[in-house]
Amino acid sequence: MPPDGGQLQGLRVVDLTQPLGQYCGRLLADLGADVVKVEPLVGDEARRMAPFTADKPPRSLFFDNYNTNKRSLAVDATATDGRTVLERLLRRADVWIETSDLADGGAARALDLPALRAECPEAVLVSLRGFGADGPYADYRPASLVLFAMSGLMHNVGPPHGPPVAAPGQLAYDLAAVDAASGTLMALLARRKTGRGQRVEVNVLEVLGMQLGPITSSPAHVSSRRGNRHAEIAPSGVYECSDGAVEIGVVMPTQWAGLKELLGHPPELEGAWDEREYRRQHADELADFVAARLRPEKRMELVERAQRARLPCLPVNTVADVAGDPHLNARGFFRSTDHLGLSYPRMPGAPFHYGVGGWALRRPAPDLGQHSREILAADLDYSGTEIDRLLHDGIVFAGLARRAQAGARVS
Amino acid sequence: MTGLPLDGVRVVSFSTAFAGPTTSRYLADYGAEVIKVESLRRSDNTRNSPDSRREPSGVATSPQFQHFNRNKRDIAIDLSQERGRELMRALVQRTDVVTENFSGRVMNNWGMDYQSLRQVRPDIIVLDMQGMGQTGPWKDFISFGNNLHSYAALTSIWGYSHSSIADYMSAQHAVFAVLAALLRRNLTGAGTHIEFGQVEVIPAMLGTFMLDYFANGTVTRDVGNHSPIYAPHGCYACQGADEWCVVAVTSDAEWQRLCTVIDRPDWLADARLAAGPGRVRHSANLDAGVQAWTRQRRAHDVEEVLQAAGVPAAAVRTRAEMDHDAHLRARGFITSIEHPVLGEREHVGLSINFSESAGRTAGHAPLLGQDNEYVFGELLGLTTREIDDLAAQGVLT
Repeated sequence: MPPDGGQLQGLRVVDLTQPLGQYCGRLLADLGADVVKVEPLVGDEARRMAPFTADKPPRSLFFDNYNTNKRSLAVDATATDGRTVLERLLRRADVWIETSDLADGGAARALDLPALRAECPEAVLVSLRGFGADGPYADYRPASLVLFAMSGLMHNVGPPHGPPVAAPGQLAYDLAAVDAASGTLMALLARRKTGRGQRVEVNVLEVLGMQLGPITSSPAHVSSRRGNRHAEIAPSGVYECSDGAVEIGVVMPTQWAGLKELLGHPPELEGAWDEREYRRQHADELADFVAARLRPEKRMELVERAQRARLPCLPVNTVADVAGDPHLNARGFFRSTDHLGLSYPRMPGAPFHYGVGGWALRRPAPDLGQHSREILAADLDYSGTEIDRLLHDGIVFAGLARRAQAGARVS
Repeated sequence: MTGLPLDGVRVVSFSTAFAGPTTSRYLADYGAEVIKVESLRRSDNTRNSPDSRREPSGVATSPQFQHFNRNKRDIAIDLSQERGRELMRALVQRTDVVTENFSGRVMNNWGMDYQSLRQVRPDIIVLDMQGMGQTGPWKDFISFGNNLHSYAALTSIWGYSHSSIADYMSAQHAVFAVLAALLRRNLTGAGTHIEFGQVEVIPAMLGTFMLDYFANGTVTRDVGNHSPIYAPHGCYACQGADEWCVVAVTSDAEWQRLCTVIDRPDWLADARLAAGPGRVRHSANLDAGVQAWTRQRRAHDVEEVLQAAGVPAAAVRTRAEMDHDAHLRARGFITSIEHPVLGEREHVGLSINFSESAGRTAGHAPLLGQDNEYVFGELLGLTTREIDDLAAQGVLT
């Protein structure tokens, strides 16, 4: 195995997810798995989702984010010959991933995956669902916002008198996709011992539900929104400075001592304030006091001083701050896209840095059907004549350059 | 059933607080034998909370500690003493994975860094997961989930800082990273070092926002409940006090159903609203129209009516409501754990379901040092007398 092949080199994955849940296949592809993204002839709906580049034609950055390092096969799963192509692809793969309960559930809707899996005992079928196949919400329509709202993680986030605010983007699905990727790897580890694959099901509501932790016994417990001050830890949360904001948190006695040191040991904070429970009960008074002291500060100077006093204090950064962040850049977190031929210069890397066989940007997110021809020929052993017929009949789409040549049409 | 997928994998976990223990908890839930390393002088900080109880040793334990540490074994060992470090090296020889989230210098000071441990066990997998990572100018900055959330731009994008998400995101990615290393070791026989920077989890996961900055210079802030993709997509006031619902229309079919249920034939007839991009352009009008309808209704009625019609919608639930949620209970997601000090309490279950393999939830969080006999006796071959002597000398306490 070459040292840059990635932890998962040799793993063959068919990614039937769309338009959400695609982070699962991305995680596998980033570590070297061969992930074939199956798309309808009109392309994954994610290709038409904002934001876009200024390229002509524009590229969806939403699509790029979730599909870098994957290959694309565009095939009509509603046609018999299209399903045959997909079945041949699935039979030779280790892992199948699908999100068929979404509004646009993709090719998995047209296939009987459980029946096919019965014929492929080594395959791992990964189903990413909103709610799960049983229980009162089994027939509910899923969406990231809906699942986040139901999870209990949203009601206490937001302005005190305004609406609760959900996590941005598709974060609920992305969190679940990480567990789906871990479930995939666990099933593969189990297969090493048993020789058999299995079905893995991960439900977004339960992934979010893990954060409930110990179940509270009191039904009277009501959460309330407190802006950016957290209810249980005082002082904590976001504090404005003269040129931005910082977030601090005081949990341990050393951290409380650090805060007092940072503020120059103000006499107002002596006595009962040293008790965590007293601070919690008088959280607003304390927060107002701390806020007034921190407001004139410059945020990075404050962070440096606070850290010297062993107080957990970090700046509240924008996306632009993160892109220019000296720490992340010194770590080499952002990767150049020079070798990918994209109009934007950098992409985020991954949080895990392996000594050997790691994460890499191997290929850009594919154009629609970019790899259809090579997959049919090299992976599925279709002859040139058969491939031409599939293209001509509009069963498979092999990219724009190929379309003119083969005369295929997009339905 | 073919057993637990990680059966046979031994993990030594040096970890405290949320993200580190959650990582090894995932591994324990699915069958790994996770040995948590603590000492009387240096115990996990989630043991202390307002609802803590005392273990016989005098150390505290808490429901929160149980949540992050169920199914684990626990040893009490003082690694500031050479005899303690010697025993730890002997344990690492019999270990597949070492995970740790202590501050940067701790493992080095003990001689337990990757380069030292691989001398003891060449195919060891070591996960170091510091908040700021082990390299970079600010590697020694103290962080925790909340302020990493802010540092990594999730607070500015979201508009709010969330108290648990960053730690879970870190743990979930760390679990994935360890599993990939285990799979590779199965194939090649080689271990590896994984340097994990929790600070990088959020920008990796929110890649779309980072790409929008790199491609277009867009600095996304305060997105609220809006979506650049879908509309209507928001949180709307309902009839009761502080009662809210969400509606997320993710397809044209769902849009048509919504218009029918809330009786807006004018919207249905409006060609500008027929497709997603047009609806996103007019989202302010749509939000006002949807809220005019939800204001007249209870949040759970909105959920019931819209979901019955096939429109994604939900009442925004409080945390306490989820503790009693009928769906999670019907699915068996809420489980009960019997703990020798805390008694029987309910906890969340498992997020990954297997058709052939199993997970487990019943193992209570360990008492400090409860497995000294097993680890130092059964695994390392010390006699009970030797273990007692080492305890008396303060090495195994």
